[in-house]
Amino acid sequence: MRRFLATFLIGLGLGTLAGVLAGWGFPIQDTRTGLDQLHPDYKAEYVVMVGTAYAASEDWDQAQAWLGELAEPDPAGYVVALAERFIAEGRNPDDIRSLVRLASRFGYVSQPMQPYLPPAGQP
Amino acid sequence: MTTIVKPRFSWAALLLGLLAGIGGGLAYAWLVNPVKYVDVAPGQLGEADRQAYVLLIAEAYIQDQDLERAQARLLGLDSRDAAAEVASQADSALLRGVPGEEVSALAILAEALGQPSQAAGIFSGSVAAPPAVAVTTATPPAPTSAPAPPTVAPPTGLTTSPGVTMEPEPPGGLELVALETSCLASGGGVIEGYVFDEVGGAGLPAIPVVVSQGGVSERFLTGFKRDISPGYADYVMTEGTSYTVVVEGLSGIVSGIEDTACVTDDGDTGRLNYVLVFAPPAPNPTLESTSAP
Repeated sequence: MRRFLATFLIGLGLGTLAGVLAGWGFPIQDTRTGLDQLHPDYKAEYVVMVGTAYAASEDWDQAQAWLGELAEPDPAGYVVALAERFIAEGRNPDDIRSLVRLASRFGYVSQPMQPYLPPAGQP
Repeated sequence: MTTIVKPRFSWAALLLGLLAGIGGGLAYAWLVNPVKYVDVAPGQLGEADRQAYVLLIAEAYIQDQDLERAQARLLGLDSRDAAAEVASQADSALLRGVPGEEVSALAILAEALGQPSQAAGIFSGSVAAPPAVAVTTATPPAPTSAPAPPTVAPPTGLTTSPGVTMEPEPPGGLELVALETSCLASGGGVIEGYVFDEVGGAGLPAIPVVVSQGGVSERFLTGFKRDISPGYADYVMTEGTSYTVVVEGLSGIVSGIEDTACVTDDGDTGRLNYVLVFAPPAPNPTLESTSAP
């Protein structure tokens, strides 16, 4: 009986391991996800697009709604950090301008951002 | 003498354990702690978020006009045909009545990607492929007195035109609030239709209008000439032919529209031009009957 139990437990352990791996490997539910789960690189690209679109539409509510989709706890801080990172990395000036435009609209403008600020009168 | 009894391996116990384990493991992985993907590419977004992402690509394209970059961004969607997806989203947005700016952005991007869409024809200012049921959007020769864009002022009075009648509109539909005929030496023989959200209101794009004659119907949409009005559509008639016009599903049938020869005020021979204006009935209709020009 003891041997039966031991064998059963070994089988149970192996089976559980196989079942979990198979279940995670072949999920039955929809695994598509939301914008908040985007890879950081895509998130950054998304924010750049928001900044570019905001430059055209000047619709701040819409821009905020788009940023809200990323579910960042501090959207302003996220945008500012991203802008400063792009500046530090010497990224595309147009992208930096898009990010700085958003950051300044949030009310945060740091020294490195100054050269990228839109001319007065533009959003 | 000692007898060693070799215990038998219990395959039944192993099998039983495996089955129970697999069942439990699957239940855990599928129901209790399902897999969640993080740091995903746009291609793994759910439908709504995917559409939001595409819209944002289009909105950004409107500003930066960088098609190469828009295409690179679309690549992240892992779409089999990104251009078709954008066009489809534009058409879908058009039909759902989402704000014109969004449809316009999607339509312009779709067009830039070389994918014709109904919405592109309406919102990007160029004429796209006709709708599935449509034949063509007729383009009249330039009339001598084109409506003045964009503050086009369609007639507001109902002109009595011999033979032109309209069936009652369906409940909640559009009525013919104005009908004008004019005799044009050149550029006549055209039915010009306007569909407005209210009398004197905004033109409604993408409203299907059907023109029929002799059992043959042609269906087209308003909005292909946004420089005139988003709610404008026109149709070139064949001389001597009688037509009926209906705003599909929204108005009664207007019949008795006939392309006939006429004499202009200058004494020249011309052809009749019809201007039909459809709008929801006013709460207190104050239609005036004016004399025919």
